[in-house]
Amino acid sequence: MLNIRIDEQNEIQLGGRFDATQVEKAYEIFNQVQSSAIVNFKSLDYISSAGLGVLLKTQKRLKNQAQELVLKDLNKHIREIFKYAGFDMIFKII
Amino acid sequence: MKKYFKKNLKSLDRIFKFLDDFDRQVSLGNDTLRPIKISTEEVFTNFIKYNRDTENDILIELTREGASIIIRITDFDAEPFDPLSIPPYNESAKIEDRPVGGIGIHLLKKYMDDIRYEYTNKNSIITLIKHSGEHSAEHPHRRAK
Repeated sequence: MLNIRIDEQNEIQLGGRFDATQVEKAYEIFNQVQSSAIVNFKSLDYISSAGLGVLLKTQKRLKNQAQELVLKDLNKHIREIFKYAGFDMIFKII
Repeated sequence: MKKYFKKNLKSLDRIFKFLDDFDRQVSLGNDTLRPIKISTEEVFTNFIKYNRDTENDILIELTREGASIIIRITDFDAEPFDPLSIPPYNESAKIEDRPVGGIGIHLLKKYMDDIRYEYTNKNSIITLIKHSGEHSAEHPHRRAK
């Protein structure tokens, strides 16, 4: 299950498993984002293409408004999937 | 090990548990198990997406042959769906040119050492092969007849 919330610093905190069953839940949060925001992956164990699709669609929407998602604290496995998908070229990763 | 799963997204939790049980039997290790989970999810969700008209359960069979893990996923009474026929995903494209779809099959090709597709007796069968303990991004995938 995906845990997702916007914390008091306005960071989007992700935790657990971001798979195809969690897309709707994720959009409920990501659709609220209207300006640049940090997404914290520290507690996220797993992401599949369904999760990547949510991030890509949100990034496309924000870039159209000259805003962006910045990704933080990706573990090595999640960094790898981002690299394989070429997402390291379209997201700033800190 | 083999098990049938209802053809809907709610089965994913049970599929992950099934893969964890297999891991406990054969000790895959996280570097092998994680790509197998991602790839199995991709095939399963594509079978749901491309064959909505049938409600037959999907069969997942897991075997280990030496250093190879073989994941065979069967969609019964289905229309053909060959993941290797999907146009390649351009991982270097600019964001405005990136489609949201197609990433899953791209990842499948990156993570698996071999992908085979068969369509026989109206059954769509995708076989994934992963060599345990190594990454497969440099390995070409092949299509079997």
